[in-house]
Amino acid sequence: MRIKSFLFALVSLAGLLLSNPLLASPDIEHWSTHNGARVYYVHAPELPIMDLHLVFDAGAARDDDDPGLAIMTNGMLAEGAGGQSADQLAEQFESIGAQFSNSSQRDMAVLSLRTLSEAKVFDAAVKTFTTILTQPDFPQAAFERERSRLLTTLQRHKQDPGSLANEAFYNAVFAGHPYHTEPTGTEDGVKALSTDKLRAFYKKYYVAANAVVAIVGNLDRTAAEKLAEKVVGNLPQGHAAPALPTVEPLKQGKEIRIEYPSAQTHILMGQPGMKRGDADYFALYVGNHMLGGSGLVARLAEEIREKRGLAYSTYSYFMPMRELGPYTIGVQTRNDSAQQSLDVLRATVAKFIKEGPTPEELEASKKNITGGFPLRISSNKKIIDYIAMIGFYQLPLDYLDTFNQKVQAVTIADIKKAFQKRIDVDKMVTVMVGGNVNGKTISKK
Amino acid sequence: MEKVKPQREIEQLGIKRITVKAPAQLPYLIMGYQMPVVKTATEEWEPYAIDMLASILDGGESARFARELVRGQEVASSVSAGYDLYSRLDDQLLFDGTPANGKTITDLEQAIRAQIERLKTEPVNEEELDRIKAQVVASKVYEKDSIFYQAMQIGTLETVGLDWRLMDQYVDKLRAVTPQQVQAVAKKYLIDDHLTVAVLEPQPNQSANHAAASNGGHSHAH
Repeated sequence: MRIKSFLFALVSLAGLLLSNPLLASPDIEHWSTHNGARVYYVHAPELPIMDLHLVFDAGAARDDDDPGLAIMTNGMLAEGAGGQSADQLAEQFESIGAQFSNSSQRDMAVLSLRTLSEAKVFDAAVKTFTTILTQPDFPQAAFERERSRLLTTLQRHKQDPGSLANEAFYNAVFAGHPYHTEPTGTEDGVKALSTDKLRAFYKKYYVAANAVVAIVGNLDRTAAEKLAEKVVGNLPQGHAAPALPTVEPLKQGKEIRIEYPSAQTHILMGQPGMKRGDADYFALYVGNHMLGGSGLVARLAEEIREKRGLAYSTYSYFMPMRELGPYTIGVQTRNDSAQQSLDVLRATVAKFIKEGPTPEELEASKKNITGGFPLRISSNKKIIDYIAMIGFYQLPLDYLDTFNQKVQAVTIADIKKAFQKRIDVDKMVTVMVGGNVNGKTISKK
Repeated sequence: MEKVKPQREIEQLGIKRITVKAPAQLPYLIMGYQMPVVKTATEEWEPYAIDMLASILDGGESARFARELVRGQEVASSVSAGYDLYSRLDDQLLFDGTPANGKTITDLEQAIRAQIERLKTEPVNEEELDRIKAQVVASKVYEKDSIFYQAMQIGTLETVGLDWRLMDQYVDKLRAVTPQQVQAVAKKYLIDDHLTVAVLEPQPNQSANHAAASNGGHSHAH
């Protein structure tokens, strides 16, 4: 009886999955404001809430000679605007339960707002948000304090082997390219910042032509259009940020060892990987899924963890960016097994590049990726991240609709070809941070 | 489910201080006070008043820690308060933080203690309380956006032996908290005899010079 009803439930569930329109990809609408900001919108009336993300091409890739400039500019916006203090601005959001946040990575500088969609609350939240975006004051006292806090963050990185490894990795993989510094900048860079520099950066990059507005929530198209005009309509049109320099492939391998008094060694290896919208995106993404992107069942985990017990976990991933983002392979292991782990990682990646995946691996990966797709878009929060990304990198509006189809179309030959063309174990940067890393020889291939 | 053997902590009879010396760049402070939780409280409202107290201090950028310790006095580079009212056993209300550049661990501890004294001596004003309540009410709606989080809440409550329906009572119970109740739990539980203070005293990294050299000097091409 119980088994029967369970089977029945299973069949009904399958039917539901096939027929439920709620599981279809969100319907993305796109237009531009009068001053040239690109807007991406999804109507989501199920919950009485609204999410808004403003994304500027104003991340650390635009720091130029001032490492830390982009993140300080972004962080200072809510520290005083329209003559109001940070206290007042925070009070205005929090007294109505609205959530404001900001962040700045290498490509993107983001301001986001989540609020209830009820008119009174919504209007108040949008007003404060718009003030922060369009009338930042960059007060000197707040600047000194935030700069001091950023310097403390940089100090914290120095006591964390993971951060040390990451910094050395980017430095080497992207030597000579704007991506090489950390978004948090450098000590010298941050010390040399000034409110004048922040104002100039803001004026140049926080402009409509350099902005993407993403809206998801309980408001109709007309209301969304009004919202976009209200928020960015008063920004100067300005210019889109110029193209970034191309990331050059590494000409030779490089090994960096940093002594750190930790019991574990952090190992990172990799090289420039791929861009958003890359022609090889699906071949590389699906291929990496079975190599190191699917956690404990990926090949790297099989070799490192299951067969040899060298680490709890290991991973590899592509981070597609405006220009070639990093392909990163990583593991943490006991200091005395660092050498062996590194050898295993290299051999496993090399074998995968040479032979490609088995048909069984490819099939399992496709099932995992396509079957898990509904979970990628299961909340407004996830949807807005996708549409902001689609807008920022100007991916096709049917990106989500065609995602599974493109995953299904990938063949073993595609994966082998893409990996052989793009990934080379002998030309990777390898970073080891841990105890006694200088006391041993890193094997040469 | 079989009844587990009761695990009660022996009553703490005085302040405990712990110092950890380790290679690091920044000092770090944790202060913890023993607290009842929903599962163990004899007064039903108390955990909610403690939760409210934690939010008065650290519920957002306009709460007292961000406003007064990070911004106003600039004594903390970061500071936070944490309390989990759905723990299985008595738990701690934890304060942790890193002093601002030029300030010491002692400065930070004193600033946190001054905030605690203030909670004991003056009732929080209604405006502050309303701001927390507005955030809680809105968050309850935002939570509906995450299936995962809702499942997590149900699972957490049932795992510790609480009724999952408690999650639906949270907003009402928090809204019912009064300034007097916040003051009462501050006086009753934020006492030195139930306090543990742990400090990380940074030590120089013995291999620091090594690191500088290896960063530049040990890069091999192959």
